[in-house]
Amino acid sequence: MTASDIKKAEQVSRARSLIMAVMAVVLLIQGALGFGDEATSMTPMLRHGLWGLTILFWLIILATGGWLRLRPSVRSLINDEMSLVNRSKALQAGFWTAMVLALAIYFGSMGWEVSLREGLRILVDLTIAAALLRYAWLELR
Amino acid sequence: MPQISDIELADRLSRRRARMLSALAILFLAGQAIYFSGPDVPTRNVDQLKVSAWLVWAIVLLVLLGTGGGLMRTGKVRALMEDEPTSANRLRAYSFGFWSASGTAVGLYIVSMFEPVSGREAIHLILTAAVAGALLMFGMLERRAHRDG
Amino acid sequence: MAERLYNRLLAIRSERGLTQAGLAELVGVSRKTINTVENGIFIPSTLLALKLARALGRPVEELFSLEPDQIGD
Repeated sequence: MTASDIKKAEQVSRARSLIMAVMAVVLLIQGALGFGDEATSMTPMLRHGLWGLTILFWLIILATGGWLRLRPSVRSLINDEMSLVNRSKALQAGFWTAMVLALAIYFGSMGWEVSLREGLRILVDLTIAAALLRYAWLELR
Repeated sequence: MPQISDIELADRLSRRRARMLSALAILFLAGQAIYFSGPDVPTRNVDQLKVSAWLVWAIVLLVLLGTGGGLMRTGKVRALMEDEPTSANRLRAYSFGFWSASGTAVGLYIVSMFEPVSGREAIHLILTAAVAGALLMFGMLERRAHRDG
Repeated sequence: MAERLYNRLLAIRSERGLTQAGLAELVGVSRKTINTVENGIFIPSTLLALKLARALGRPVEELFSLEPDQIGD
C-alpha cells in the first residue's frame, strides 16, 4: 500500500459519495414521477428494462462498494472498516424506508388501485435513494 | 426465591428474545398462506380482518426488531440486553432484511412479465420477506452469540 | 493487513477464577458480550477492550493481538 494508493482511494471514495448523492436525488425524482401517468415516448419494454438495469446497477454498488476495476490495494482502502460500517447503516436506512413506504402504499391501496409497476417504482426507487443518501452523508461528513 | 442479578436476568431475557423472534418470524412466514387464499381486494369482513391482522402483526414485529423488546424492564437490564454484539447483530439483520426486500422486488418484477401480480400482493410479499428475513437473521445471530465455546 | 483478532480472554479469565458472568459484572456488560468476544465472533470496540484489560489487571496487548503466536504461552 503506497501513498499514491491512499490518495487515489480518498479521491475515489469522495467521488463515489458525491455520485451516490446525485443518484439518490435522481431516484427520488424518478420515484415521484413514476407514480401515476406513464406517458412517455419510450416503449414500455424499454422503459421498464432500463429501470430494472438501473436498479440492479445501484444494488450491486450498495453490495460491493463498486469501482470493481480498481486494483485490490485501493479497493481495500475505499471499503475499509469505517466504510463497511457506513454501508451497514445505509442499508438500515434503506430497510426502514422500505418498511414505512410498504405500509403506506399498502394502506393507500385500500383506497385506490396501485399497479405493480407503480408500487415497485415508488418503493424501490425511494428505498435505494434513502440508502445511497445515507451512505453518501456518512462518508462525506 | 433467590433474587437473580441484572446480568443473569438480561442473559435469560436475551436468550428468550432470540428464540421468540426466530419462532415469530417462522410463524409470520407460514401464516402468509391464509392471506393469499382470499381475494386480492378484501371485501368481506373476514378478509378485511385478515388483512388488518397481518398489518398489525407486521408492525408489532418491526417494533420488536427495532426496540429489542423488554420495554418494561429497568434501564440497566435493557442496556445489558442492548449490548455491543446485539447492536452489531441488529445492523446485520437490517442489511439482510434490505436484501430480502430487494431480492423479492426484483423477483416479482421478473415474474410480472409472465404472470399478473397486483401491486398490493407485491407489497405484501416484499414486506413479509423483509420482516421475516430480518427477524430470522437477528434471531440466528443472537442464538449463536449465546452459544458457548 | 491482519483480518483476525486473536484473544487470550478465556485463559486469563480462568486464571483469575472468574466466570463469564463474573467478568461481565466487573466490566458492566452482558455475559453474552464476554462470550462472543472470547469465541472470536465479535470484535470488541476499543472502549470495551480497554475495560476488559482494566478489569483483568493486564495490558490490553496481553489480551488481544493481530498475530496468534504473540499471545501464546
